[in-house]
Amino acid sequence: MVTEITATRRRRVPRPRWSLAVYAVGPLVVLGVWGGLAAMGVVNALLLPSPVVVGSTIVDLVASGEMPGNILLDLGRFVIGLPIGVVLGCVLGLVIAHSPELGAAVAKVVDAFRQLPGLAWIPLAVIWFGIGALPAIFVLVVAVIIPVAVNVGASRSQVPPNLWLASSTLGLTQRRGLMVRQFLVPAALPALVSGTRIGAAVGWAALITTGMVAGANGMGYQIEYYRRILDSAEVIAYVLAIGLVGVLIDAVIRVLGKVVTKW
Amino acid sequence: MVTAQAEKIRSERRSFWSGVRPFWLLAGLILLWAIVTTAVPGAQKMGGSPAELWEATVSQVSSGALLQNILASLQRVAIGYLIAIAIGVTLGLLLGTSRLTERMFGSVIDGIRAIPPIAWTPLAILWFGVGDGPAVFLVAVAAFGPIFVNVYTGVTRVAARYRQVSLVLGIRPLSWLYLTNVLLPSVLPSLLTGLRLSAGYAWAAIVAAELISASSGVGFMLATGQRNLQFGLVLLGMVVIAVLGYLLNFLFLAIERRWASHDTAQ
Repeated sequence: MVTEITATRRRRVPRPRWSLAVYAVGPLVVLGVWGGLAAMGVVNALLLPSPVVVGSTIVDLVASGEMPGNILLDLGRFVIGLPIGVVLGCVLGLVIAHSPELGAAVAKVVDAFRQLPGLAWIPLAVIWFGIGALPAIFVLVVAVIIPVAVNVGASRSQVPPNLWLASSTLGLTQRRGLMVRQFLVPAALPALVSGTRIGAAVGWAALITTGMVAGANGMGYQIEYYRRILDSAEVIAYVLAIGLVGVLIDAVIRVLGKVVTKW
Repeated sequence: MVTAQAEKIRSERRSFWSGVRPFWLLAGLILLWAIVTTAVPGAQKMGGSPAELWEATVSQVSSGALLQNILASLQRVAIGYLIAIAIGVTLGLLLGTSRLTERMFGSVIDGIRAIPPIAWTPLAILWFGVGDGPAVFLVAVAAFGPIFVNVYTGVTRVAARYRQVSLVLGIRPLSWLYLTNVLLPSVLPSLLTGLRLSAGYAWAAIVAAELISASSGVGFMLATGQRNLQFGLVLLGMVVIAVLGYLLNFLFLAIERRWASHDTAQ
């Protein structure tokens, strides 16, 4: 009976022709409900403009160069801040992983700061650096350091204990270069990549939020500006753009990570 | 007997010290901060001092403002979190059990999840005005993701043999018996993980929401401190946010250990 069920389950079911159309149902339902609500005037068009209006607004914002300009501004800050955060986090993580005495102490410090969401640094960053790109980069760096340090710090325990035992039996522990190349780097790199991915996602959000609070330009500043003058279509356009750029950033880091950890 | 006791005390003392010792760097940094801000003129204007933090703590605690702000934040988080559980669990069950709904609505949900919750803030303020509305909305959006994903994967990973055995026993899928005896025990561990992760997301979201638009709450403490250049208030806000975030995580970890432990026995 049991085997019969698995057998029938595994058999390929011929795909009905409409299978691709199924994927379009969800987006169409959402657009339909949204457009319907807007067309019937159920919701205030000032607060929720129709999909058509939002679509044409996106086209306008892209065509005028305003949105691409703001995206490039924030990407520029991101490209400056991310490597700083990754390097600092990596150094802390390596100390945690490889120095028993100092590492334990550093781990406690990282643990203490880890409890704080990166966004909670915004007020201090604004007081220290004022308005503009600097506070955003600072909050981004802080948001990236922690996940990278935690992930890299835990990477040493990813090395299978049997490998340590085997290598000490073979007398390899004296050859530090070999140990580092064969054990520690292969253990630390994937942790570095996953830590960077988490940090990039949190950091991107932190960068935008700091822009909302204390930006002079960029997507966060722009979206707050449009909110204040009640331009909902522009606000929705920027919400979508922030999500899209975040997805692209993650895709790039994932591809880079695959290249780096290819062995 | 006496020596055994002495040995026991000694080893306890030793484990106490080995537990405390790693904190030397953290304690040293705090001490350094205190010394620099009192000894170096002008340093206090740069980043606030432990003395300011202490003053702010005393005044906020004695006036009751601290407790009020904490309760305001916790209330918003609780409401938004419950909304997220209701929506996340429902959608996770629906999309996890039915291939058709997964194909139809998976892309929409993935698209919404791809947007950082904090990016919704301006829209939330437009839609819900000032007050609790935007913060509750943001918490719900932030907490929804991990709950949905964990319920969904939990449902899709119900071990094939359990499904087969229940079929053999004539328990129909989606019957009450199946839900309580097969689905729930299988999904519970990942559901609890999702609940813990989303509590962390919710806590970060409430800070952001209150920082930008609120008239109470822990994020509002930060915003007020920033506007009035009160370092003490900003630092107190950060400490409170960190401690409450830690306690939330601790609470959910304890629940997870208690209720998900049967998973290892499978």
